[in-house]
Amino acid sequence: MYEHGLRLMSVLSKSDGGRMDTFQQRMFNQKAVFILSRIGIPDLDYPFNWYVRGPYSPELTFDLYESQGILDMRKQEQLSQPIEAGDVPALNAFDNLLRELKIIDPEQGLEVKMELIASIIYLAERIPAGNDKPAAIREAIPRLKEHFRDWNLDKYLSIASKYYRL
Amino acid sequence: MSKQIRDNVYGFVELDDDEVKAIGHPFFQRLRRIKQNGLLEFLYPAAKHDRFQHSLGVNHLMKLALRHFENESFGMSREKMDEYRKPLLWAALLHDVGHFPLSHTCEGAAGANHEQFGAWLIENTSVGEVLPRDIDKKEISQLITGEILGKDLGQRPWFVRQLMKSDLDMDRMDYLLRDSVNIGIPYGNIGYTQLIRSFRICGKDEKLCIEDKAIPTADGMELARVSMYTQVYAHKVNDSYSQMMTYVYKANPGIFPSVNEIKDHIARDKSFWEGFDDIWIWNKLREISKDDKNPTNRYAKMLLNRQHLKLAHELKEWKPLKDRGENYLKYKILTDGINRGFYPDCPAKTGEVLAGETKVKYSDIAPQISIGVLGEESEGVSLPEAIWVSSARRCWNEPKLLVTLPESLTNLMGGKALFISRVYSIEEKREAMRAFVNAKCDELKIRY
Repeated sequence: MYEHGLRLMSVLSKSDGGRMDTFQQRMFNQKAVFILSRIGIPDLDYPFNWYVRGPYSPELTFDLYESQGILDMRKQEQLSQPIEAGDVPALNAFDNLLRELKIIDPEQGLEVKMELIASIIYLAERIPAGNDKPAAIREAIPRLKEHFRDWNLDKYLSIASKYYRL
Repeated sequence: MSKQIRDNVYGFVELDDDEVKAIGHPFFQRLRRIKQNGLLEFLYPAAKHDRFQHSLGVNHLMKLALRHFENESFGMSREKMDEYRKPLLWAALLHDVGHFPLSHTCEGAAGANHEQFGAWLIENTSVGEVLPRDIDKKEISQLITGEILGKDLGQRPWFVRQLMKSDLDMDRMDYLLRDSVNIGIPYGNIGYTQLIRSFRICGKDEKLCIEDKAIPTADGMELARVSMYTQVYAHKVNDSYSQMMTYVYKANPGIFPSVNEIKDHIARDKSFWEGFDDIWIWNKLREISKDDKNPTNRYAKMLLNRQHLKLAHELKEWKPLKDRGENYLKYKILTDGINRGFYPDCPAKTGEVLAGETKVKYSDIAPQISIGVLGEESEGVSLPEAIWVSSARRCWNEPKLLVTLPESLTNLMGGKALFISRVYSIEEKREAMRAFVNAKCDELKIRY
């Protein structure tokens, strides 16, 4: 677990994530791991499910809490697990995604915008090939998540499709 | 027409014609060759029961639960019964078809999740063909993985997921009972008939609840699970064997396959999964034991001869998840360094020492309990894993979480987990390792 926790914290801290003190931080971590596992760091995958503010993984929450001390102790540790070369493209893409999300709808929290992106990807994975996925997602999201009812979903569909093949 | 099969836990279990045909599939028969508890028989010699028996048992409990709900006053409408009865029974029967050999030991080593793999098998191999024509494979695979969204991206009623995956699911009930009966240990002997008789479906999400008079029984089940984990599954001897097997598995990627490699094998040879069982693992261990050049040869020989690394040192702590646990983390860094051969003065070298850890959550919702965000939709977690309680006599409009009730033991313990970190070594170096770790703990100010 320690090795895995170290990797988890190393990856998240590259985007200033990892802490679990506030709701915003917890949401950020969940959505960051989900998105990163889909755009190029597959070994971070956890079983995610569609909760009220999902996709969400209880197992990931457990690991994140257990790994909190790693952030505190990193400077003291004798062991290190550097970011792997294979992670760099995904981390760069994720940084670009965050940069785009910070610019649009500035009145909304970053973690909420990440929730929408993650929701789009999650639903896209579950819509059979051959269907009009954007249309199905446009129909499903306001129905399943009322707080996104008045959002411009096309904007977020467009952003999501840059990083993940819908 | 149905078939009755003797079962040492329930007396008899009953299967209809389609189910009888299904259990004849080679992937289901394979479960006879997957021991329910992996290497536990080395500690408890009677622990020889298998996943085949367990799968029939889970199917049986699901039938009992659904029979209970034939009384519509308990909350399941006729329409919902018609819609979900058969899918739930098939999911219960097939829920372990994706299990790896030696159960969770090899699954962890291969980086697999048996539910997800089982779902993949149902959708991509011939085992999915055992389902009757009116049953959708995707539906069954989603029930097995506990997917909340159903077809057409609609949300399933909660009880559907909860009967398959929650603190109160049929899988958990059966394994606690079955392990207890077979091993000869009383801790897992839960009041399953009382629990099922107390089932109600209520609330806006159609939650599976228990009546409040069953609170002590539900507490008993949570406690039973913890007792079985601490006394049986996470016992130091069983843990030692698991650590050794995991090490051998991971250290021989050319011999023991990963999840993706298994999928490739199945694509080339449909019968591969049939033969990938406990016997396959033991045969590979025998090959390794004869190869003096293989660095895991020693552990392979030990496993074949029921010898295990001895416990040299351990740290056990019950702690709430919100606690950063610096003490435990320092111990983990220390033991991780031992595993990696980081300490030149360590008496035992790689191949003579293993460090590993295990966690026993009191409840599946321990993280949420720990941070006090139970049922808060703003936190985004609706907690279908939890045990919910309904009470007509207390006039509750909506069910309440068991963990919030002051009369419940789960209220005291729910947010905690037992973290166990251990160092094992060969017998000859056990005392030296104990002294070494003690000294390191003193140096690093670790309480143990």
